[in-house]
Amino acid sequence: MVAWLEKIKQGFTWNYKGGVHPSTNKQNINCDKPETIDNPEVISIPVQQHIGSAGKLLVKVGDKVLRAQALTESQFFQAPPVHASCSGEVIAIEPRITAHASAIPELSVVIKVDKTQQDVVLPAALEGEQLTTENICQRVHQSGISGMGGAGFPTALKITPHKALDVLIINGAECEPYISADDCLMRNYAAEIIEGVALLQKVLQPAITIVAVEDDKPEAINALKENTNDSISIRSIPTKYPSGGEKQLIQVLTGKEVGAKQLPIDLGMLVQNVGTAYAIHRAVTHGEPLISRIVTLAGDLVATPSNYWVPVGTRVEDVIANKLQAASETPTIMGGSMMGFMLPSNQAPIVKTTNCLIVNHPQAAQKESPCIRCGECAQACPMGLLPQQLYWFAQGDELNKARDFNIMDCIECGACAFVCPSEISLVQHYRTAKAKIKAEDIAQKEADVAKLRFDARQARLENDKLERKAKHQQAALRRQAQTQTQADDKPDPVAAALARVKKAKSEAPTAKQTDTGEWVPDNQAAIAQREARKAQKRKQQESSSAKATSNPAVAAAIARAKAKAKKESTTSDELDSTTHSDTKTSANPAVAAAIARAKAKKLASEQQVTTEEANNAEPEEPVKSSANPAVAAAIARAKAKKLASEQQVSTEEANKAKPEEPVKSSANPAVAAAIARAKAKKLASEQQVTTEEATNAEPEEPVKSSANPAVAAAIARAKAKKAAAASSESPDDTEISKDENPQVRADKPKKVNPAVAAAVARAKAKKIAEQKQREENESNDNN
Amino acid sequence: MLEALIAITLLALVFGAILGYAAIKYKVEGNPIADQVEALLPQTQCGQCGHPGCRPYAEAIANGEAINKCPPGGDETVVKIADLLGVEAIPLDEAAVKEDDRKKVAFIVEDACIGCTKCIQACPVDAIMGANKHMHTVISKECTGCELCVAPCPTDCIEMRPVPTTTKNWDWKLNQIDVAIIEESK
Repeated sequence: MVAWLEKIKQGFTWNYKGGVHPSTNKQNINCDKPETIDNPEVISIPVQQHIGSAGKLLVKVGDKVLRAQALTESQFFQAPPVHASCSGEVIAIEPRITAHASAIPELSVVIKVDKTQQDVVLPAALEGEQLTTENICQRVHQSGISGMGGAGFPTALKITPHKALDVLIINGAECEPYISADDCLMRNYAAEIIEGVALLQKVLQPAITIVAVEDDKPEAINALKENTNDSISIRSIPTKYPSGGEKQLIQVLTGKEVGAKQLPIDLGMLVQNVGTAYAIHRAVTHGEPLISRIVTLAGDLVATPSNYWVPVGTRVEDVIANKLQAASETPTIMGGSMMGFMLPSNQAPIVKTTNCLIVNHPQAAQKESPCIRCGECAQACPMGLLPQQLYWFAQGDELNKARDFNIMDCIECGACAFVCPSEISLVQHYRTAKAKIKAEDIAQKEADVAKLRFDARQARLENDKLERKAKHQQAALRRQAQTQTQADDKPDPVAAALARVKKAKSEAPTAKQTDTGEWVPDNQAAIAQREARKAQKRKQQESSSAKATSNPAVAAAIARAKAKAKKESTTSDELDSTTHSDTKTSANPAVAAAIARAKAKKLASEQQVTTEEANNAEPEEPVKSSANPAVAAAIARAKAKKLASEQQVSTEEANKAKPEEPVKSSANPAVAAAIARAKAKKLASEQQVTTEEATNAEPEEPVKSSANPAVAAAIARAKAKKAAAASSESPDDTEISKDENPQVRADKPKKVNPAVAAAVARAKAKKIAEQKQREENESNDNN
Repeated sequence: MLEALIAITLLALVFGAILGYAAIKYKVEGNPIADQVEALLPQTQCGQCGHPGCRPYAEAIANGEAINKCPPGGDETVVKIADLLGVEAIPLDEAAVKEDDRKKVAFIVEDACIGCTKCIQACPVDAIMGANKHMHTVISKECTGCELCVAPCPTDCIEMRPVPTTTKNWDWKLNQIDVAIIEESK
C-alpha cells in the first residue's frame, strides 16, 4: 500500500488497454481569456440539470429575480438548487425543450432578461475558522454545484467524506476532440483552480492530490505548475482517447482498475473535474453560485472557434448567433464529436454540464456495411469489452446475453465506432440495448413491488376475514351465554307469565280501586296473558330461526341485509321523489349532478333488469328449435347487439331531445354527462352480460371462481374475448338458420377484427358506436 | 457369488437409506417451476389470462398450460418463459394482443368520482386511495395497469392513461443521433 502510494507520488503512470487517437481538432480554437455571452433576451433554466432529483421551486410566474438568486431549494444533497443566471422577470414555468437528445420537454424556469444584471446579495466568503467540512459541503450544495465533467453528479454528495481517501484526482485531461473549455479554464484561471483543489483537500484529506492534464496542453500545465503548492502535483499524461474517462484516468494514474459495479471511492479514490474545482472556489471564497460556465464553440462553420463564458440557461441559438460563417442547416452537436449528441433544436439551453457546441458542414449519412468480424473494436475498447459480440446481441434483442457480456459497463466512448471499418454506429446500438435493459430492470422492480403489495393485500383480506369470523363467533358465544344466564337467573318467562295469569284468574277481582278512589276495570290479567303470548311467540321464533340457519350470525346478517334493502329502497324512492323537485331548483350544480347520476344509475339498472329479462326470455325459442348451446349463444349475442345498437340510437335521440327530459332541464352539462355515462355503462354491461352468457354456454369452458369479483369479471372478459375471436374465425352468416349446421354462428354480419371484438367484450359504448360506423361504411362500400 | 449378493444388497440398503434421508431432509416445498415462472410474470394480477392472478397462472403453466396468455407481459415474457421451460416460443395469443402496447396506468377523473370505493375493492395492489363518499385517487407509481378498477366504476370515471415518456425512460432511437466520425490523425 505504502509502496503503491509512493510509486504514484513519484510520478509513475500506467497504461490501459484500448483507446484511440482521433485528431483533436483543438489547434485553432482560441483559448485566451473568454468573452462573456451577454446577448440573450430570454433564458430557460431547467430545474433539474444533474443526476438525482429536482428541488422545490421558490419562484412563481411574474416574479422579478436578481442574478444568482436561487430558483429552487432542497435540503438534500442529491437535489442541488438552480439559480437565475441573469436578472429579469420569470415569464413562464413550464416544460421546455432541454439539453437532451430526446427533445422531451422538462420543467424549466423561463426568465426574460432585463439587462440590469443586478446581483442578489451573495453570501459572505467562508474564511479561517468557518472553513469546516460541513460548512464547505453546505456551501457547495447551496451554490448548486454538480459535476461539470459531463455526468452532473451532485458535488456536495460526492465530497461528503464517508471513507478515508488515498488519492484525489482532479481531471483536466479533456481528451475528446474539439472540447477545450477545461484547457481554457486551466490557462486563465489556474490560481483559482488550485485554490478550489486546496478546499477539496481540506474536506477530503487525501494522501495524494493529483491534477492530471493531457500532454497536448502544455500552456495549461505550465499555468497550473506556476500556481501549485507542494501538496498538489500536476501530472502530464499521454494524450489518448478516452483518458479523460473516470475509470481510465484512475487506471493511468494509479494502475488500479475500477471493477464493474464499483465506484472509485471503493478503491479510496475520487475524481473531480477542474471546472468543478473552480466552481467550488467561486462558491466558497466569493459566495457565487454556479450560474455560468465556459463553453467551446467549434466546428467547420464557426468563423472563429473560441471559448465563451455562457450563462446557464442561454439558448444554443443565442450562443451561435453571429458567430457562424453561414447559416447552418445541420443540427448542433452538444458535447464532443465522440460522445456528444445532436440537439433536436437550437432552442435547447446550455446547462451546467454543457462543455462544447459543434456546428459542422452537413455530412453525408454514413453508410453502414455489414460487420466483418475484424476485431478492431475489441482492441480499441478501453473497458475490455467485446463490442462486436455486443453488437450482435443488441441487434438480435438478446438482452440477457448482452448483459452477460457486460454491456452495462460500456462507457459509450465511441472508440469502437471510430475504428470500425464498416462504419457501424456501434454506440447507438449499445445505447438502445442499454435503454431496453434499464426498462426491463425497472419493469422487474415494479413487478416485485406489485407482488409484495398483492401479497400484503391478500394477507390483509385473509386476516380481516378471520377476524370477522372470530368476532362473530365471540358474539354468538356471548349471546348464548346471556340466554343461559337469563335462563339460570329467572324462571322461564313463559312459565312465569302463565303462572301469573293463573294466579290472577284465581284470586284477582274484576275491578279495583285506584288511589283516588275510583273503580276501574282490572285488566291486569289480560295484560299478563298478552305478555305470555308474546313471550311464547318470541321463543318460538327464536328456535325456528335457529333451526333454519343454525347460526345466529347468519341470521343476524340476513336481518341486516333485509334492513339494508328496505332502507335502500326507501332512500331511492326518496331520492326519486326529491330529484323531480330538486333538480330544477338546486343551486349547486354538483349536488344536481350527483342526484342526476344516482337517478340515471337507478334508471339504468332498472332498464338493465328488463333488458336482461328480455334477453333471457327471447332466445328461448330458437334454443328449442336448434337445441345447440353455441347457436343459442350466437343468437343471444346477435340479439344483444341489435338491442345495443337500438339503444345506442335511442340514447343519441335522447341526447338530441334534451328539453323533453325532466332531469336534463336542469341545464347542467354535468347532469347530461352523468346520464350519458350511466347509459353507456348500462349498455356496456348489458353487452358484457350477453357475451358472458354466451361464453358460459360453451360447455368446455371451465368457470373459475375467484375471491375478487373484479378478477372474476376480468376473467369473464378474457373468455368473452376468446369466444369473440373464435366466433370471428367461424364462417359468416347473416341469417340465423335452424338448419343442420351447428357450427354456424350468426354473430357479426361482417368479418370482425378480433381486437375489435375484444373491445366490444370490454364493453365500451364508444367502441360500439365506432364499430357500427365502420360496419355501415363497409356495407356502403359493399353496396 | 454369495459375497457379491451380500455386497450389492448392502450397497443398495446404504444408498437407499441415504436417498430416503435426503428425500425427507431436502424436500422441496411447493412447485419450483411455478415459482420460477411466477418470477417472470409481470404481477399485474389482472386476470386476462383466465386465472385469478399471476400465481395461479404460473401454476397452470407448470402444469402444461399455454405460455402465451399474458398480455401485460407481451412477447418478451413468452420468450422468457419458453427459455425457462425449454419449449418453443409461440406468439402471443391473438385474443390477447393489444392495439396499443404502451404501459398505461389508471386515472380517476375527479369531477365524476362519487366516492363509492368499488374501485378500491377491485385494486389488487392497493394502489387506490380514498374513503366512502370521499374522492378517490390512483397512486400512479403503484398502479400496475391491470384495468380491474375500470369495470366496477359506476360512473365510468376511471381512464387508462399512458405513462408519459421523460428523459429518464426515453429509449434511444437508432440513427437519431449519430456519432460524427472524424479523420484519424496522421
